[in-house]
Amino acid sequence: MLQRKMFYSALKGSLSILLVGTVLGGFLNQELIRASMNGELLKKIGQKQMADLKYKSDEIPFIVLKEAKKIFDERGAVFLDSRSSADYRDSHIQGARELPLVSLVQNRDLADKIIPDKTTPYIVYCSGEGCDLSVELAKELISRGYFNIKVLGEGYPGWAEARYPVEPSR
Amino acid sequence: MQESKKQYIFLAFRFLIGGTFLYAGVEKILSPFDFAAAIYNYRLFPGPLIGITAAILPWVEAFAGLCLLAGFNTKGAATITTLLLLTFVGLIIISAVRGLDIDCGCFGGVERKVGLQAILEDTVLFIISASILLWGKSVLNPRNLIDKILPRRIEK
Repeated sequence: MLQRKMFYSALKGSLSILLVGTVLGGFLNQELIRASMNGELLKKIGQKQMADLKYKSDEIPFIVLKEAKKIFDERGAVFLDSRSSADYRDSHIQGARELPLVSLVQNRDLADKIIPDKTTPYIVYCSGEGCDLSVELAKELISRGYFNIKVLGEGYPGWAEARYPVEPSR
Repeated sequence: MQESKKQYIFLAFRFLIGGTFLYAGVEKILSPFDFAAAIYNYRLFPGPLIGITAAILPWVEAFAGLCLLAGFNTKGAATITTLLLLTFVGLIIISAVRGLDIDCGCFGGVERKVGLQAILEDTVLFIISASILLWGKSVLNPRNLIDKILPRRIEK
């Protein structure tokens, strides 16, 4: 009986906190909620994260999605996936080579095995604007003498959302 | 262990969880857009849910933290903090397994990456929060203070 009373008291107490939080947060952030409902919020987040990523990148050149697709169609560059092996196995840009930053740090010879030619153009990507693995990988490769490196800021999510070729295909 | 000692241990627990949640909530209230971006990075939630969560969750965290600190509605607040911590641990584990290299978004201004350290810290906080919910005795709460003052007045 006492336990049931305590349970209802905790439930009532937690619901009252939820109610206050919902009313206050909802009232004071109406613009944020409206922007998230009409899709503006995701656009704004993407723009801000891209700007932050470029700021972090120390002048490493970026490539926009459409231009990357054009180069992909012309087979003008090798795509490098800097995400984890699990993500790569799950799905990656068609033809991209797996080069996780973590593995490269652990095994310094890995780059020579996977991408022996330092003059080939490479396009590096990771999980999108909020992820800096691609920028870090690009910096690492440039420091090792690869000079034709570009970063695809939109990363795998941007590529997949645009319905460009991925493998395994979805 | 003596009952009074236990009470003061739970008081320390209350202050720890309350302070942590109040701080985390206020940090996010001050920059809801950054918190929305942190939720977006998990790539688990649909667009509309991101804005609503970023708008409401910080206030719930801050209010639950305040209640724990003040000793008001402690069981209700501990229910909220325990469930939230359980959710956070689950989210961080999922993201770590997926190999996401992102900030967990736990505290607005403090960088804290998704990974083993964050999982362990949040698990410890979850255990502490759950212990307040299950066994916590309220000392130093408004009702106790009033009870200590009022009976003397009534005796007179």
